[in-house]
Amino acid sequence: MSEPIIKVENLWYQYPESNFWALRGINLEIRRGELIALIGQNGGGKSTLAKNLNGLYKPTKGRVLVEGMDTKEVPTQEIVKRVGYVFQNPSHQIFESKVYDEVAYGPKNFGLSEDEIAERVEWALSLVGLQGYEDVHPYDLDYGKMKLLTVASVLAMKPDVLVLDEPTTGQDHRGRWILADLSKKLNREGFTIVTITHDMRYVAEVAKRTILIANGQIVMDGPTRKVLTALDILHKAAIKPPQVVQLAHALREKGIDAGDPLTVREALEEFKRLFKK
Amino acid sequence: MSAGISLLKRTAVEANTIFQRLDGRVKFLYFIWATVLVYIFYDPYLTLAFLIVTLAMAAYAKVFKPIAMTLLIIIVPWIILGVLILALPFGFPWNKTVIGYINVLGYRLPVYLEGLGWGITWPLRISVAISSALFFYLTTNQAKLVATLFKMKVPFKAIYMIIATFQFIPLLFDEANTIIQAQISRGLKTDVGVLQRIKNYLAVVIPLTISALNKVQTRAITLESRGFSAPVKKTFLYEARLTAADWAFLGIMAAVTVFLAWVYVTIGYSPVAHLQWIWA
Repeated sequence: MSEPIIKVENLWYQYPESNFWALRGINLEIRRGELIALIGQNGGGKSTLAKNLNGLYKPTKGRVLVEGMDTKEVPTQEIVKRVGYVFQNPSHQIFESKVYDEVAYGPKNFGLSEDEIAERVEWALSLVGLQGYEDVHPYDLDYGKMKLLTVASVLAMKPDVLVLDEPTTGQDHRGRWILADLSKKLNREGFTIVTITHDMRYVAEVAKRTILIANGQIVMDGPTRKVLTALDILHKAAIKPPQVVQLAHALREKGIDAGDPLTVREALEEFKRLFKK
Repeated sequence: MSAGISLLKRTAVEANTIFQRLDGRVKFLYFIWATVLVYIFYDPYLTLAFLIVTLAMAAYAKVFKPIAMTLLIIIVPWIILGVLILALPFGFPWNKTVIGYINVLGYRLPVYLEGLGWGITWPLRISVAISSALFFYLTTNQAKLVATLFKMKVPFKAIYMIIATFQFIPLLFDEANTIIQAQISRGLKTDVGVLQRIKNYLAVVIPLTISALNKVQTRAITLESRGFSAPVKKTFLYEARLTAADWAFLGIMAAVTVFLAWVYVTIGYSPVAHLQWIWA
């Protein structure tokens, strides 16, 4: 197994001017090439944990090591080169008047040469399928493409780890599908992906590992199939599993073993097997 | 987060002391009254007395800390700078009475009474205005504030503008915070020179403006969908009424006003420090 790219050791986090612990003793290892979903109720600590991973927040207690660097000791600018964070709302980061400039903003901040910047912009735009849009005003793009633009603008910094905050929120079916597909594609390209999401269908279709967070603590961490079929634990954390999982569970209660499908495709295979029986 | 932001973030008053229960109009009147009086008189001791009384009330009402923090940030540096510039021979035109000498970097400089008085009194006057205004704001919850302003015949739309500002500014600060985080995640450097810092502002101001416009538009639609502009007389959950405590507070203010009027007439505008108007 590869070395952890991020190590979280007994992380406690308290927001300034608050007496409430948003994170309480998180221990976590993220290895190169993983595709992880962070799930949990609103206010459970998902985003707080993710912002600790890229140095935006510094641990109140404990430590976070990114490629061996302690985020408390190393400036955030160094950490964000390694852990990119795509924010939920595209309008929180888009400010340039051309798609090209928007994507070039990060590499420019790193002081790269014009040639290197151009190469990275082209590469990032091609990864998200936005080639040809270089001269378009970002706010003339539809919401789905704006989201892809924000992903490209972080990709252009070539981080090892990409944190996607609620990538499918506000997306139509096609937008959801594009982003799910993009997550898998980026993971195949070698990026380690951590996705914060409430979209259980996305989790089922995309994530290899799922971490369930509630009240600032990790409640469950394991292969996605194991987490999404732990119905009692999910119920306690107020998480509804994908409908396919619910259907398989309901059938099992009726004495029909439809296996443990997570996706519609898997369910179809299970039903085919059942009908053959 | 700065003290100013945390101040504006305060939308409800948790404590329930006599000052929270006082009618908002009375506390607003106190703010105007104290501010006007410290401007009529020219006496740092008297002004300091007003400040101490206001801070004592704030401490009792459990809102001392945010007010003290604000004064510490705004007033203390002002006094330090103001006194140095005005009391020493750096060109304050009304300086004439030398009250002593100090050594600054090997130079023996005269200290002028006029500059010293002016340099201390002005920030103290502002302190009284700020602390009494914050005392009013921090001890009056928004429902009572709306009712109070309505009783004061402030037009409903103007009341909404005031309340919306109080609600909107903290939201905008939260929004700006998220935007700064998003840009830091893309390598925005915050420890840079002035020129770069101005350029950095664009990366925050543009998304913030767009986001604010969107929020305002959404708010306008939701307000209208709930009858904001309905041509009817508005009613309020909370009715502003003066109680015995309000009348007692007003009585004390009236008595102090009479006393200070007598002081002004018999002793003058600087009854304790005996300063002269600087242009006198």
